[in-house]
Amino acid sequence: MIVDFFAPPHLHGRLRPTLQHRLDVAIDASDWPEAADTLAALIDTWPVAGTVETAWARWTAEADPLALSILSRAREIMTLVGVAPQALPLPAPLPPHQTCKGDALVAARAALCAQAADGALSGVLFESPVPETAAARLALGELRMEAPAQLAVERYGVPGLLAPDAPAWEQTFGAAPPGRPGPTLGIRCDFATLPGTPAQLRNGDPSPVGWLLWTGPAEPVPVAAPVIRFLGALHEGLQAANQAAGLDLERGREVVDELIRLGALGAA
Amino acid sequence: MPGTLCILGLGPARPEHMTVEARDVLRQAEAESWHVYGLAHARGMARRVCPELAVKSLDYLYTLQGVDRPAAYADLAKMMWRKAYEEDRKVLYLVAGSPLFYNDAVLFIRRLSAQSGQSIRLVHGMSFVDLVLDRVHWTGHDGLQLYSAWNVAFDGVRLNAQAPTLLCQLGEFTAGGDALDPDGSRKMLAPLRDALATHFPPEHPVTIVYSSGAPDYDSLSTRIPLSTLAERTVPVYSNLFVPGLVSPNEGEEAP
Repeated sequence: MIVDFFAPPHLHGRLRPTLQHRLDVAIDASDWPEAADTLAALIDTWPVAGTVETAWARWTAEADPLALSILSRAREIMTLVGVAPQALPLPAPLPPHQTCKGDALVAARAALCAQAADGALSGVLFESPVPETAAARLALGELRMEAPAQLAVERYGVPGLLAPDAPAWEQTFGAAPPGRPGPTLGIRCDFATLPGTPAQLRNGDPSPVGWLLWTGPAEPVPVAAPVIRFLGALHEGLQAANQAAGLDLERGREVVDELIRLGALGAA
Repeated sequence: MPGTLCILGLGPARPEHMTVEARDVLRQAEAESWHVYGLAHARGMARRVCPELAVKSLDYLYTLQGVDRPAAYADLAKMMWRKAYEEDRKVLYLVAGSPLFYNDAVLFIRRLSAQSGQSIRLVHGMSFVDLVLDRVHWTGHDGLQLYSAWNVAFDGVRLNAQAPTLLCQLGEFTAGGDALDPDGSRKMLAPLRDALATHFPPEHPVTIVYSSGAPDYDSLSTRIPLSTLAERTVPVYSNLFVPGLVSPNEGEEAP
């Protein structure tokens, strides 16, 4: 069950430790594509865990587009750690669609696009990769323009037919809401120092990067590593936090303002 | 019902510059549920007149890896033609500015029309030339050469230095037609300056004509010596007016 997989007992007891171990092994082996994918999965466990239960409810009730993006990312993470995820249920009848071999697209372009323009085709499921030729790319471009669910089908498969507006995972969440200034500030997110960003690891260039991570619908934010030391010591007071991060008083105030703006700090 | 293909020029940007015919066609397309296609700028202009008009996005043509612009424009033309005359749809292709200026897809369609004898409807739109001439005093007595700036900078086009010249698409910095990043414009301004310097002295005045952008789209200009042309970036879709040597005041900057 997807929701249980990201529930706290399994999330903290199995999933994140497993991903962390895979990440360490991949870095030790200089397997940078694997390291980048694993780090991205580890980071994404925060927003997925904070939204997956609601997403499941909204998908099964109304085929919500945002929910499809979240559940699909959840399934990707499960697959990455070797768990076969359950198929998503289809909560409504599928609109008209077709299957097509990728290398047949150019020849079928006019017919498929004509059906789509008539409203008789929502999307095409490709049974094999579309060739990377100019003719195929132009054909796919027209199909995506005419068939309302084509992009969603390419991203998410059959369920995409029910949610043409499902965004790419990278566009699913915006920034966390800013915190409210106040005399006593509380930390409103998790934070961790990880061995870089996924892009850095893909380039084989690991170096410590801080991450602000919300268990909810907010995009994780990379920050300078000293910011994590600052947050780690903040419960001992601002002076201790500044000292831990090597900041003077003025710079420490600037960091606090920025963390409030990012939604990592807010009035307790 | 037989299909039709209408190419609609929307003018440079401001709704006030759109012709009455263009507005009528947009409303007719909305009322009769034509199949309407356009790039981002054209879609925005059409929405200001017909907010409910559904316009399908052709923007993908600019994002296809491995597909050069000429191939994309040819494919666009064939696609519009197919939808209209092989599938018998009412098709409206929206074009910013005038369809007759620097639009390879429109030219391709017009050639298909000439070859097949199948007529198309072309609704003219105000071109960028009107806005450029709004910023310079030009009588026409010495003529006017019209080129893409790219042609002069990189293609070895030789100008008649005696006559004024209007260079469009100033700042376009790749052969593929990329001009949407003003920071890239210097890549072509320096070669253009050097090419013009083979015709004109360094102090020869040239006028950069550009738009203030949304929402007013006012025509703006800056007159500078040719030698300083590459010292700044230029906004997207700028133009350059270069007076001829015979009558340097033919093309002076308008106040």
